[in-house]
Amino acid sequence: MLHIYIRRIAIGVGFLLVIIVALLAWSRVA
Amino acid sequence: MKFSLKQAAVWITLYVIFAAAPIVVAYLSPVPNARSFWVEFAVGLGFVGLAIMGFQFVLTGRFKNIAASLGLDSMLQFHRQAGQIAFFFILGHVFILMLANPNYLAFLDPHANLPRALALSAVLGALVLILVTTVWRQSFGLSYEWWRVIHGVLALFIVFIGLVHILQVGFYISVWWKQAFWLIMTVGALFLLINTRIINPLRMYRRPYRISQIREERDEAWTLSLEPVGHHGIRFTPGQFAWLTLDKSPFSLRQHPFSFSSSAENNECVEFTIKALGDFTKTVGATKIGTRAYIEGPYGAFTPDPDPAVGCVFIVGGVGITPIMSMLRTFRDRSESRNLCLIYGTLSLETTLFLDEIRDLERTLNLKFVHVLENPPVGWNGERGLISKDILNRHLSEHYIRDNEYFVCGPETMMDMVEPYLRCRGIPLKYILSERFKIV
Repeated sequence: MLHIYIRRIAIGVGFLLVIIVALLAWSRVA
Repeated sequence: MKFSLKQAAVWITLYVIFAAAPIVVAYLSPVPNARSFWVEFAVGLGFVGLAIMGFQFVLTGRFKNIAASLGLDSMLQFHRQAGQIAFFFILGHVFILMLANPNYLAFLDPHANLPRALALSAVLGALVLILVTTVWRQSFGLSYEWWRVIHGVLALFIVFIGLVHILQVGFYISVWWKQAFWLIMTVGALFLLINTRIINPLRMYRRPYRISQIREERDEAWTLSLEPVGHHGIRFTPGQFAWLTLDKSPFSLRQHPFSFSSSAENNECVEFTIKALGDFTKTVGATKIGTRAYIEGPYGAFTPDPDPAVGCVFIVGGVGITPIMSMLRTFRDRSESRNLCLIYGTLSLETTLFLDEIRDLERTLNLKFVHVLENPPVGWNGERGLISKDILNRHLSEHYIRDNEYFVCGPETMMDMVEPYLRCRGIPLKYILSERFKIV
């Protein structure tokens, strides 16, 4: 696997998790 | 097993599901009344940050099933990136909570609760320390062995205090099964550490090797031959690597990853060619014949397709030649006639590892050899300078671009240029295999 893609995948996973956390928090408050 | 995009996608999806699982469990009924969005968001970041920290133990657990499809080097690179993400999640947890409601500052106030304030301040310090010592280890002159000790201790401390913090706050884990979930996750992480540091070394202890030969190569490199003692040795695929322990117990932390350089068809012994680059590798030349050694492996997905109809293009710099030599020697021993092209960049003729043998292999294999010399001698007609797009364009004609696998191994700067170049030439991702020296 290419190094550049691993970095991108990790950043993508990080963003995805932030969005999941935000959506779950929003659903909790709403 | 070869790298597969589909399998990688499955592992990544599972990773996201497991990382998000703690917050989903926390939100399952019964739940207390919700606080503000930012407080809930910050708490969620803390849960997920701790889960990522816990999964760091899986990524470094050297599990062959996972490593076979992704490559252990890729997993360790992901581990590095994931550690930084966890750092920012936990930092976000602290800062957003305090900005959303300054009352949370009490968590770090020694007057409010001294043990809690000390533990949480220490865990924040440990987070900074684990990141700094990893990213700038060499700048600090920290040896690899000491770094491993510090890294493991800090990681355990962070996960342990994180768990205590969740149990102590207790907001989302009022019922026993939610507490059990966190305990199981933590015990699981601890087991993975025990597996890496105790169970795997125990297996190695039963399968010792001895150094049977030491050869001095060019450019301050040494080839160590290891023969198995009382067992049948190791079977590997050319291009793979293993963790080598020399003259120490397998429980020692002085364990380093090296690519096999010998043919996979050689059942009598295995060889590693090691260049004197760091604190450990500079001592390799002084190893005595008969020295006890242990091998953990094989690992890595930097391996050629078993089908001889698939050609290989190797784009290599310096000591990156070692896994390629294993492949070339294996192809020779199997009398394979697959299409091979080696573009090999080195400093000078005198420092070119395996030059004579590669020239011999040119005659026995279907191998095109392009030698790129940074400091060529007078009268040199070949390529000169560093491996560049122009050089690759000249030698990778359309004939070589199709139906081949591409193996890239060498210094970071070379790989940073070659990997995107190959993608631009239209090579599918699954046909580009790269291996970086700095996996630890």
